[in-house]
Amino acid sequence: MIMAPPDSTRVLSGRLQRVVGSSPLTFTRRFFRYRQAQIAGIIVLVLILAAIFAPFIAPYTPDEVRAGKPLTPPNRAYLFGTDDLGRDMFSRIIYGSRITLRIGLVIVAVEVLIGVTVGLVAGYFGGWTDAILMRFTDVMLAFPGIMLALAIVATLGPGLTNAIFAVALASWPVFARVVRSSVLTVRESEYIIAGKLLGASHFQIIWRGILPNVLAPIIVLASLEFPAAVLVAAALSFLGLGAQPPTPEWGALLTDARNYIRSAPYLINIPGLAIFLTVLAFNLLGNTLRDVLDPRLRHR
Amino acid sequence: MLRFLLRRVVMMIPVWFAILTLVFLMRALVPGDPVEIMFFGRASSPEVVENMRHQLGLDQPLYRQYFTYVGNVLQGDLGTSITTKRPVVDEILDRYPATLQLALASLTVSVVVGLVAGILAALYKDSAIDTLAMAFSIAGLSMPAFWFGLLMIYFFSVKLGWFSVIPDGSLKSLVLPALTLGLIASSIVARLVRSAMLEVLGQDYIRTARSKGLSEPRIMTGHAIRNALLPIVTIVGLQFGGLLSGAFIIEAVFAWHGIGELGVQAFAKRDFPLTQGIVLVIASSYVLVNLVVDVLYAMLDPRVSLS
Repeated sequence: MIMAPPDSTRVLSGRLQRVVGSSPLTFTRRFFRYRQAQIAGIIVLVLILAAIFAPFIAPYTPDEVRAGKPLTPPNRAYLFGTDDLGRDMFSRIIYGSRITLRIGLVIVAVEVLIGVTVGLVAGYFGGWTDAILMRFTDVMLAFPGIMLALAIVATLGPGLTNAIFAVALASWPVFARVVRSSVLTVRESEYIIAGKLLGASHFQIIWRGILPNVLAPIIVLASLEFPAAVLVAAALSFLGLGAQPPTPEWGALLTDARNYIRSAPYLINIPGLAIFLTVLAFNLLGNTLRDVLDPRLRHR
Repeated sequence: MLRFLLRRVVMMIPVWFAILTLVFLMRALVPGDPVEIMFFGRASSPEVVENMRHQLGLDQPLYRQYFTYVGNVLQGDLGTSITTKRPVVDEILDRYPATLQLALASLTVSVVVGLVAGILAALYKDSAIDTLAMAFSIAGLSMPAFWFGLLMIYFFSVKLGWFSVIPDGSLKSLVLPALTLGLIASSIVARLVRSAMLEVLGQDYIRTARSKGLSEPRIMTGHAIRNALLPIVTIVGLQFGGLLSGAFIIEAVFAWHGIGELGVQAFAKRDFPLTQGIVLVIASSYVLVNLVVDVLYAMLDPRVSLS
């Protein structure tokens, strides 16, 4: 089987089915039996719809100045009120959902790409390769949380793209750690040894023999890293190091709004609540996924 | 004991050097000339840029720059801030106590709240208390610290008028930032305490204690909580690092004059000697705290061999 030319997507989806333990439909049903997953699912659905159909939902373009009288509190015409330049907050929040989803997806994708590659290579080859890669990973983990992302943005310069890369570069070590330890448990399996005896290349063994078997922890971790990434990226934007005005990124919206904490608190609370609900929903989905897919990770 | 301590300290040295190297490379690996970047591409004349490069030693080959950097750091010289022209060490020393104060105060909040919530949740597993504690925990995990901070300011300073909006460095002005950071951190502590407690409560010696007829409070205080506290020591160490970096956001929200506020300013102005200095100091503090936690753990848990 390992000798066959790699039709990776088919194999992956087949293995994915084994990871989830049943057909996708049964899995989905089992997943949404959890009440937390139902609530979270609705929030995420609303978010995705808002992002896709933003131009149809939003009554104004996000940057339209004087769409209404500046600093109008929420009312029928302006659901979330207007900001100091008279821009419609509802439109800005709707368009902001696009940015938030993109931030989360890109960060997690880059994290997975780097972290999983490092983890697979370190775990599979062992020895010096493992020692060097893992010591490097440990050093990365020695920098506390958001500070590393901040420092990377500081060197690259402020901006949304730089912030996205900074968060990804700062957070991949978690994936490397988890994937490596999973690889160690499957590396000595008989089918891997059989593959080696049959003369499969290292790439074939890793891609088709090992990766599909360490997929569950990767999926669970990715689902939990998504909300974390959104939170850190929003914080960077809030500090003025991420998305720059007039981008309607939710974290950046709070930066200017601080000056109106007395006169227009809704300018703070609406984007804040949007970030909170989004992160909460993805955290709940991630938690459910972990409970369903990988009970061993439950206490982490 | 001494040998254990010594070995741990020796093990820390290569890690610290790796951090130092990474901090150095942070600037060296950046595409583009740091001096040009500093001037935001608006340098007055090529002579000024050249002069600046020479002053900062940037006209030297990379390995020479590295050895100079390491040598200087080992002598306690972190360079001079580009924006304030003051030694980076002085800038950091001015701000460090305020951040330490904030981190310790938040740590106290997070441990007290986290312990109480976690222990109660474990004792009354699957009850309303447990559900409430875990809901609190996931909400805390999802809360943007900067919004939570602004909410605190809105309610307690603007609406109720209990605290001044601008901190004056007094103990009272520490309350809101410490609560903000501490409550968010407590959500993780509560969750980990709960699972540590549940694990201990499932042990045989708890059953033995019960069958001996010991009272429930005695089992809890004498057997369960004491053993559950061990893994919590580790968690607290990890939390401390999170609190140090969380300070970057909280200090910006509350205008708290600590190292985080200094850092954000340095980052925004591309003051790279100051940036490097701050990153190095925070990462070193984190490594040091973890060392202390490791040693503490070994002293508290007789099962960890010291040799």
